[in-house]
Amino acid sequence: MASLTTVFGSETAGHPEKEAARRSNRQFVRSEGELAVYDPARRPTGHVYTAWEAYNAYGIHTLEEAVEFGSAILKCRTDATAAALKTRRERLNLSHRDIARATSLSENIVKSTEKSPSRVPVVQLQNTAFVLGLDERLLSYDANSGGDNRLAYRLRELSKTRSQSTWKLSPRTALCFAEAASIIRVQTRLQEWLEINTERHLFAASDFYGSYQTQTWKVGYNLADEARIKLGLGESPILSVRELVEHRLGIPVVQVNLGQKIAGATIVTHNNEGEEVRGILLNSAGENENVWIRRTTLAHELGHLLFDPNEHLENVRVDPYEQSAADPEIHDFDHVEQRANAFAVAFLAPLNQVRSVASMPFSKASIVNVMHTFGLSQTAARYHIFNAHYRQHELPQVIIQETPEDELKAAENFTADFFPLQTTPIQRRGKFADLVVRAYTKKYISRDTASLYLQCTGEEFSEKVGMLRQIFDHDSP
Amino acid sequence: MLRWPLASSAPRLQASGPGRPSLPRTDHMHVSRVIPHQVQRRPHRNPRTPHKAPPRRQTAITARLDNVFPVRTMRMCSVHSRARTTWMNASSSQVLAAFLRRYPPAAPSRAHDHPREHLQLAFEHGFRILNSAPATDILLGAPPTSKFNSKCRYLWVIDQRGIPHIIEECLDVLDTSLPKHTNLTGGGNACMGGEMWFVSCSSLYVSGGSGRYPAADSKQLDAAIGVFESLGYDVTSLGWNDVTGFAQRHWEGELEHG
Repeated sequence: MASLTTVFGSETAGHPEKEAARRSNRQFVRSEGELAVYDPARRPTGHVYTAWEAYNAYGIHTLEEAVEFGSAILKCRTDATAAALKTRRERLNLSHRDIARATSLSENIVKSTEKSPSRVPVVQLQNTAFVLGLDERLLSYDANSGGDNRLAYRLRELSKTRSQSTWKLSPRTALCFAEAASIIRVQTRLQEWLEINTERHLFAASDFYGSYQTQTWKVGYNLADEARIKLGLGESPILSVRELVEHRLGIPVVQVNLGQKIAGATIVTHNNEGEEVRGILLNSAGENENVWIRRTTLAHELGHLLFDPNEHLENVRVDPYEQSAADPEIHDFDHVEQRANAFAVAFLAPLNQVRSVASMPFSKASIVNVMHTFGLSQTAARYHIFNAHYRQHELPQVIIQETPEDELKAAENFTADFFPLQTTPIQRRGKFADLVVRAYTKKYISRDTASLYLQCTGEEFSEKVGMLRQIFDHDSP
Repeated sequence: MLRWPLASSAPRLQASGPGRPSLPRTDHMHVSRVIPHQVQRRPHRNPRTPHKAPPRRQTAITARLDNVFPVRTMRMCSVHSRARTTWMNASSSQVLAAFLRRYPPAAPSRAHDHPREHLQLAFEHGFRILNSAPATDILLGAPPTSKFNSKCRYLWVIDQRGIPHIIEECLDVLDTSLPKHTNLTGGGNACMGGEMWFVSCSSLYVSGGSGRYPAADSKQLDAAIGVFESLGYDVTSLGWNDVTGFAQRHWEGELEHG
């Protein structure tokens, strides 16, 4: 067995294994089937990893083997890469063309990834794996390439026509969900590596959805109160739900165009240690273009994410717009949705505050005040005022044409209006890009990995990394 | 490091050559040798296009190895002309000499982690110098097609003595550790090192996988394959991996020899 300093370099002498990997300046380079010590004099063309990345992905024994023999064999099976990519594509019911569109690769290259992957540049294989929701680092190393099969089956199920459902996932949307799973997994991992403290640990799932004594919506209201207390929010309005979810709670939120029917979704997947990783998928199109509705959607998904056990989420919980606009106190057969609806509205606008802002007698101003004070949509505000007053007094049927303030729009804006890398898809901008640049600056990830995640070339990334640091307010290295 | 399957369960080849009866193993090793003029250089095959090698005529001469080239001598001193001519035919020694001139032996590329890594192994530990084909007293194996299935791997280096090699098995003399390439040189100089698998007594799969004596480029690996071929072996190189810049260490696709 090679010593740690042999594997990680003399600069790591005296440190335990994990710390040595973290501090190492050594790099490794991978091809489809092997991992070698990176030596620029040999002009390798593969994907370069930092020692920390390689250590986390393949473990110390693989790195030792690479040092002992020049390179280590990663392949777990002769056809591991091809099989993982093909199986995943078929499970998601996707065509080669669907993948080609998402990866900006030609259809022929996508076909080649499933036939002779060793002839395809490794970055293209990794790109394909990433959009399919596989762990691109584990391509060929793991038979499943770190893919979550339950998630794939669930997405396939959701892409079939079902009775009692007005929507189904199109292949393009299913692929968005799969890619979101990759983004969520990477974002969670980078957050851990960067040791960013969040308040996510304050919350635990609860499978109490009410009883004959406690209605489901009451449970939702109670959870909202509990969340406000734990987060120290008091009863004041929340200026930015996005900031709270992404920064304080450290929950990945992936924003992408999902068409006109789906408001958002909660995704549960697993990392390569088998730990559960959760994130939110938020539609940037449709009614969510209104920031008030987007806040409600996000709070609704937060309710799912924080409190629903996975047996109720079934890896993916999709919320169509019609569902998230429902009155939380109207009996719903789906208790999971009802509790999340009640949580969302009470979390954004505490009942006591709503009662004082919209006191009796009701008028158009009562509704408008609640909308502006708590950043609620008109539908949500009407239901909430009505429920806050024990459903005793009808609200006036008036036409309201209010728009959210610019300040609120800016606070809830997910992606920088100006993003210097044109090829980076919208779902990978925002917090994800922020963490990628941070991890690169701290030398946890290589330039190749950063450019893979931001879907640009290494040269483009090097050129724009300074600008990205400015956008995300990072200190220079 | 990754522990490969040990070779103990694999068939041990006592004597070699298609159609030849097996010779009993004795304390004095029997070696088979190809007559010099029958050794033909053939370019090593592209690993991606495996093909069946045409059957080759072989004439065997049996000699007592320890009479002509005592292993201890071989280990302790540099190769002298008498010894070399007894185990290497003229053309193979020329190929080796050319290789040594082109790629002079150099010290290991990294320091040892433990003094035992520089312990020179001896005949009784399994240390051998590769004879002309067909090889004797070898374990048949197969190169890996994945990280799990390497079978009976030998380590080799090329230095002034020829191709010292040893099967990769835990050795008591190394505190039950696996031998390293530097155990073939006593921590001394070598032109390059690698791994090999005997699929028959005259057929080899060879890789240039060595962290201590790595090939600088694909040309060096090709030249090393030439040294093996000059000994009359049918050699299949695992090739060069341009993507990592190192010798490829696993076989892509189906194995020709099953």
